Amino acid sequence: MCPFVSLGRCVLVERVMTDDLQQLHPIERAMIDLSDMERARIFARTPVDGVRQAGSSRPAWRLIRLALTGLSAAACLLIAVGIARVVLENGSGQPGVPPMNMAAVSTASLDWNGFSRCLSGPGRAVDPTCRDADYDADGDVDMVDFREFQVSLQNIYP
Amino acid sequence: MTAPDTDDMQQDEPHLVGSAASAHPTDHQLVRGILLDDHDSFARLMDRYDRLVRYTIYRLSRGQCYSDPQWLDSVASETWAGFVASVRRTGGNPPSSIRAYLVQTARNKAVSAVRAAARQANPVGNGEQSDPASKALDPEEVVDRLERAEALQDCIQSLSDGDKTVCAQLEAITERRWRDAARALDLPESTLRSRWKKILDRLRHCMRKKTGEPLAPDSLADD
Repeated sequence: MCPFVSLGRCVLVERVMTDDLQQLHPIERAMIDLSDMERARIFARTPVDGVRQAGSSRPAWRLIRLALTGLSAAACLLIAVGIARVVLENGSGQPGVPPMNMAAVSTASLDWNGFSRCLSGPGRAVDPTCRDADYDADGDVDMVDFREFQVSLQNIYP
Repeated sequence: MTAPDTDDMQQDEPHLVGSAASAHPTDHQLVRGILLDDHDSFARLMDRYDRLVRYTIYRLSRGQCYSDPQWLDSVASETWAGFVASVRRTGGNPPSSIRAYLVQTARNKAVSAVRAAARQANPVGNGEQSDPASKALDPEEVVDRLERAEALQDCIQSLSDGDKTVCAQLEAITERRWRDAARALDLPESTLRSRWKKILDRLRHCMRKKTGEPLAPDSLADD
């Protein structure tokens, strides 16, 4: 049994551990640091989707891409669901809602269910059936594609 | 491994675009390729320095890197975008050292991101949090540490599969929970102790071969 307990922890063990940590071999300390670096994904590759667009000559579009690329798939989905709800409510004919410009509507822009099913986030490969939702043809369906989806909706409500 | 700094080489060479142009283009050749919208040049520059950019951000915002899986990708992406925007602005007058410039850009982006996150978490601001901008960051030192980490990574990879399995118990071993580690590896405790000693010796020799000197106690440790 532990002879010295403080705040529910064994002081003796704590002291021994601290002493041991101070006596770590330099290689051991380096291995711990390396392990921490791997855990933080230092050696992973930075997604280039947003970066590539930084070379584009359209600054506004570039900023939007950069802002969106950092969002997680979950955040993408939440925003998308919020926007979709507004769109669906507007479609139900509430007062003050502009009429739909059906001439400007493409099949892809209206297929919210299909789009939301495909929305996976930056850098995540999508099913071939989701090709229509991959507006920028970069192999994933992320917030950049969602923005295109929004642009399509803006054509519906000019 | 991080590529050697090629800044000082062939700075006045005529510009070459495309992967076929040169097997080992200098940083400045790649930057000139980026200015001409050559995506291959950009990809090659990223291959060369992406780890350095990510490591720089990690050094300044370690906590955020652990707590937010998107943090590092996001700030690194901003760094590269900022770098491309900057070289486009400066046109034919790129910085003398691309590597140092990238470290500086990564540092600035990380500092801004940490400050923005701190403001969001604590809009009033009580001034108790340490400002990452106060951390000194010498580009050469950052490169040196990263190269040592990569050298150690290579050395660990060169170990036998059995030794790598032992290394997987690093946490228990460095906390001197020999019994736990031995049980996990299905080895007698004494065998594990002696084997660990041999592994450390192998790694030390490997590091000496790769870096020319044994690992100094603080060579990878953070400030």
